Amino acid sequence: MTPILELRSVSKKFGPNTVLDDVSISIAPNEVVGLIGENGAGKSTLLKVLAGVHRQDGGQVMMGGREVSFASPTDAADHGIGVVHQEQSLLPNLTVGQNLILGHEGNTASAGFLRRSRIRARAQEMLSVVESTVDPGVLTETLGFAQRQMVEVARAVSGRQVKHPPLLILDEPTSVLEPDDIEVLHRRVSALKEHGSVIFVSHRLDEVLRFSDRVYVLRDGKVVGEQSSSTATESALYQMMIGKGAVEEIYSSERKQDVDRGGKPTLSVRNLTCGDKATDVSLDVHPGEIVSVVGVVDSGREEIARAIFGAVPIESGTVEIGGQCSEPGSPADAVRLGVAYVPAERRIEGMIAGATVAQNIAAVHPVKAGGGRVSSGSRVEQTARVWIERLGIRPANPDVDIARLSGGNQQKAVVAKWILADSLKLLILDHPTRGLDIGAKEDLYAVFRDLSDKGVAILVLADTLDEAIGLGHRVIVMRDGEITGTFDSSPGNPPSKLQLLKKMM
Amino acid sequence: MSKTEVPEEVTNTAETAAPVSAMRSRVRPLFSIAGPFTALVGLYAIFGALAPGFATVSNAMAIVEQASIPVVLAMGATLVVLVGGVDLSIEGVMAASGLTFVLLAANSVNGNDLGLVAVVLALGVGLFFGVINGVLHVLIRVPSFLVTLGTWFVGLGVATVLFGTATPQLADPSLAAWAGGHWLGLPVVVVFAFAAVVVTTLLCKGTRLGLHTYAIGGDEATSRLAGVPVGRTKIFLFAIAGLLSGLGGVLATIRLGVGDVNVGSGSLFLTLSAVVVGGTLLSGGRGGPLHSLVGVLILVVLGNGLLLSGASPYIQQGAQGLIIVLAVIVTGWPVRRRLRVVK
Amino acid sequence: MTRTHRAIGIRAAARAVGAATVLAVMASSTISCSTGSEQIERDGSVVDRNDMVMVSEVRSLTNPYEAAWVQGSRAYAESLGIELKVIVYGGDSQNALSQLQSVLAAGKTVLLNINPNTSADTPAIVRAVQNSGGCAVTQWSKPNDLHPWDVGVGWASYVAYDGVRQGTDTANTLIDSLGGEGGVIALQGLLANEISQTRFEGFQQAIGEQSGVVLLDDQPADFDRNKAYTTTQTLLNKYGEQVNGIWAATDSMALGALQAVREAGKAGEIKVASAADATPEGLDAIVKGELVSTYTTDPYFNGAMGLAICYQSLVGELDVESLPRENREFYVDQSLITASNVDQFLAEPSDAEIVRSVQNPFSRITGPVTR
Repeated sequence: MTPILELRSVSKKFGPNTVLDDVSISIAPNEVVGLIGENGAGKSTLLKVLAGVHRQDGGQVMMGGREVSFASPTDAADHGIGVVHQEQSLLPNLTVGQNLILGHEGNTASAGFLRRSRIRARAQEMLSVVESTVDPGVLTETLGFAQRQMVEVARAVSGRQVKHPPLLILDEPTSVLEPDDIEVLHRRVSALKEHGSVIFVSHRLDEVLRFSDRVYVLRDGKVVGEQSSSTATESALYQMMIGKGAVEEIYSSERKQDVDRGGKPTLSVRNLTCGDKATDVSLDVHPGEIVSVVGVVDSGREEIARAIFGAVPIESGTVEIGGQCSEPGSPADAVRLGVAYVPAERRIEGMIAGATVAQNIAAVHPVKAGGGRVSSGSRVEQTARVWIERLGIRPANPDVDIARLSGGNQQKAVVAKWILADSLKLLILDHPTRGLDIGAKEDLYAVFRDLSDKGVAILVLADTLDEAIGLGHRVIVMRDGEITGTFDSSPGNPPSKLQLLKKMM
Repeated sequence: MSKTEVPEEVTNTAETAAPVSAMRSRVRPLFSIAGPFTALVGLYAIFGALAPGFATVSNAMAIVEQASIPVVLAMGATLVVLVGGVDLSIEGVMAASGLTFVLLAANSVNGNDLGLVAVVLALGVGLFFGVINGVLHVLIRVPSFLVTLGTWFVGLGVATVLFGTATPQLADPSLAAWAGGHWLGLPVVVVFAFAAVVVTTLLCKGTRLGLHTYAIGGDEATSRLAGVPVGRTKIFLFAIAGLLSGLGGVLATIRLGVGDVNVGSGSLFLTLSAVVVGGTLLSGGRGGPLHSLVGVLILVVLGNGLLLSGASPYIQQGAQGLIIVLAVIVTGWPVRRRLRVVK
Repeated sequence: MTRTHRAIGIRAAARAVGAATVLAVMASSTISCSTGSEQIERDGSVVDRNDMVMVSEVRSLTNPYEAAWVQGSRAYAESLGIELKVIVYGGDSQNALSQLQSVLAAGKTVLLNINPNTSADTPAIVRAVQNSGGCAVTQWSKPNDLHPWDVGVGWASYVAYDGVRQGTDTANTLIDSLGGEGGVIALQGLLANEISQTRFEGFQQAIGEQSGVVLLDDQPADFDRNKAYTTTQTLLNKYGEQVNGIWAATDSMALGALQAVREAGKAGEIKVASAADATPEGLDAIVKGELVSTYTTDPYFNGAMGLAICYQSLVGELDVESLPRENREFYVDQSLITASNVDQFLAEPSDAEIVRSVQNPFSRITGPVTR
């Protein structure tokens, strides 16, 4: 059977860097193929070649047995290739239906005039292919992540050219989804297999194995392995990706110290209520303790984290940091009391794109970074270099625009700006490793362990249940704004994911 | 590590959320016209109570008539703002078109008498300026702010050269009659304004071009990747804006009765204020022609009401500024949460 | 060099350049100040025609009044064969001064006739001319406490126009046209503008002296025709039948008001009076019976007269220092124009007529400036 897509010895160079080196893969019809590799392995470049954004320097791209060359993303799309990116690419101010037809309005427009009914009909059609029940008439910005994801998939799969079966490329689709959304996606992807094929790119090895039939592993621009999902194991894949050992080690969970819960807690929350998202929440975090909070969408855990930091108004309840009452005022007050907050939306809230790495690192505690009230540029640079070294930020250049770094390195810089202050007592992490590769995650977990050893209290809204269990001394489960369960997670006796899930639903 | 085992009941949670949020969004769409409209109604009610002679039919007609030319201009300005740009050349284009018109129609300075053709050619001048704006902005990548600043002064210069040394007076009786005349029972300028609103609204809400306009305003890079012809769309919009500025210039010139380089003086401030007060975001992608219509009406009602309320002229200007700020606050109230960064 | 080092280097360089610039600017302004204060003494000797340049400086040429003014200047300069430079400063005071300074620096003796942008501009202008050994005549506005005799022979005269008179005369014409009874609306110019204020003062005086005609409302229309139109429209709605007449401080506003009156169907019923300018359109409207009055200050005469004073001074025909105060600060004759005498003013004066009228530039003095 002719493969739907085949890459033969494809290579791509950017200047002196060879980013893709003799890459050959093939995707059969009605198949889901996983693609894994660390950041910098060449995954995104490969996807861009397939999406028509870049042209390869060497080798051939074949579709249905015939060689193709894409002049533009629209060209690739006309050949049936649809990409759903990590960053959402829908227009928030348009309706779902409008987003679905944008750029290829076709017969929904006659003589330049749009026919509402036809748009609706076409949108419904597209949405039903992915079994989404979203109403095409709503504004896209009112949808949640999962729903938007589905709309994007629907748009990508629309298969404008009937003669080309759709090839859907999902780039990190699950990094912003909650567990039950992931389940829905899994079902949809399986359903899509009947129409065409899917390339599934993710850092979450367990999901890659679940979703796909076969997995390719990329490292340093080369294909270093191809496995059938039924026989592959995560550690084997991990080993191929980076040549390191077992997966469990990344959390350094064996380093977990016993936490002294006798003294005064660093963070003490009593009967906290914020808006309609969280009701009557009480919890403690002791010095050196890492508390993971898990929950599905609307569990209220994000609200609580932001409220503790003063970013969201509190209706009732108290928050005490190091014994001192924290007024539900502003983040500035919280910072003064020694609280740090690393937000989930790195691009929007975490880093200042356009500023250099050094400037970002110095952003919160400029006095500390600059060596005094009048900050010296060289002192800031020195501080930045120290942290670049300590956290392994690459490229190791404090003057480079932070927007040019990969996600993992950006996150390291964001974290660095908070932890360089000695006054840090409580570190709040909101999905800190979302979208990062294994190497970056491991580095960050080591940093959090170090902080915990030094007595910093950490409250982390975990990305995955594994992360929550591996990282935290305790795991708190929230549902519908309330705490539904608390589990101790010691190295020898962690809670099972099923136990957590039961409390989450 | 074992694969995640998830019980089957989990599967439908995400999707059941969809119909709920759909209902919520229908009930309270963001950036709706409700804010500015409320401000308008509120102002009208306040002045109706405070100012004698305000709430009469003839005053309402006067307000609508006074708003007509600004509305025509605001329609063009809105199109450009929706796509994320700004057109500062309004006054210059009005001047150039106005002078072209009066010198081509029957006038006191030369022997031309082209009648309606003069109107068409003057509109062509406006269109030309608009195309220049669009092309320079799109092809040479000059920010729209700068390009239109330049064409503003070029337009004034062209008008000054055309003006020469003596004031050309409009001598065509049928065209001059547009100033006070009525078509279909409405003052001529009101008919033009109405047509401009209808055409612009249809364009924005009902055509592919309108969809592309809002898309580009929402996020230009994403739109481009989606296959929207960004450059072409922008040039077209600037061209229409130029055309409408030209129309405004012709109508204002007819009302003045003479060619005047300052025919558009003050229009830029009024037009852009109206667009902002009406709720069309300067960042693009939100709002629309109907918003700007309400914005113009708010400003005209304001000026008219203050005048009729007998407020001292010294206070009127200050009061207008204050009320504009209030109107912007009322308009922006429903969406203030979203606008966490305010520039 | 690492990028940071280079960045620091660039920052230091920028600072140095900035400091150097500041020093350079300070130095040059000191130099210009010093050349300014270096007085060129006029020893009373006659200046040769070839060393003269006449300058006529106005706000804009699209204004009919100023266009006529410049025409008068041109006629006079041509009659003597002297070069005329026209400076248009577009309402920008800085521009007015800097363009003038360029001409002063060119070397020839400058004869300046200027309509300054605001009163506050006058001191700098006249001092610049004084210091360069030239001669200036300013018109229309000056600070109340500064007089030509305080500055020197470089500022020969200041010419003003009796705004109060303009106001009273035109108001009375309007009152007469109403048969002494009725309600009127007044449209002022810019509230902060001196001539605007004096005209309105005159208007109010005339109204105050009789009791048949009542002032219903007065609003500023900023000298803008369109604003006058919309304001009149709104006021007509407010006062309805009570409005019998409209007085406006200039032709442009009067014509705007007239448009509103026409649209309200009251053309002919409501009398409209203008207090100034006698623009061709305004005169036309008087001929057609649509305006009852306007005023002329004879711009052709004023454009030429200022230059004539300076010329006669520089060739020795006139000794500025010994002029009585009345000849250094005076009101000039102006004429009320109504239907009865409009014919006299319709035709443009010929160049010869203009030149003849300024042979004695003081021939139309009506009195010293009283403000």
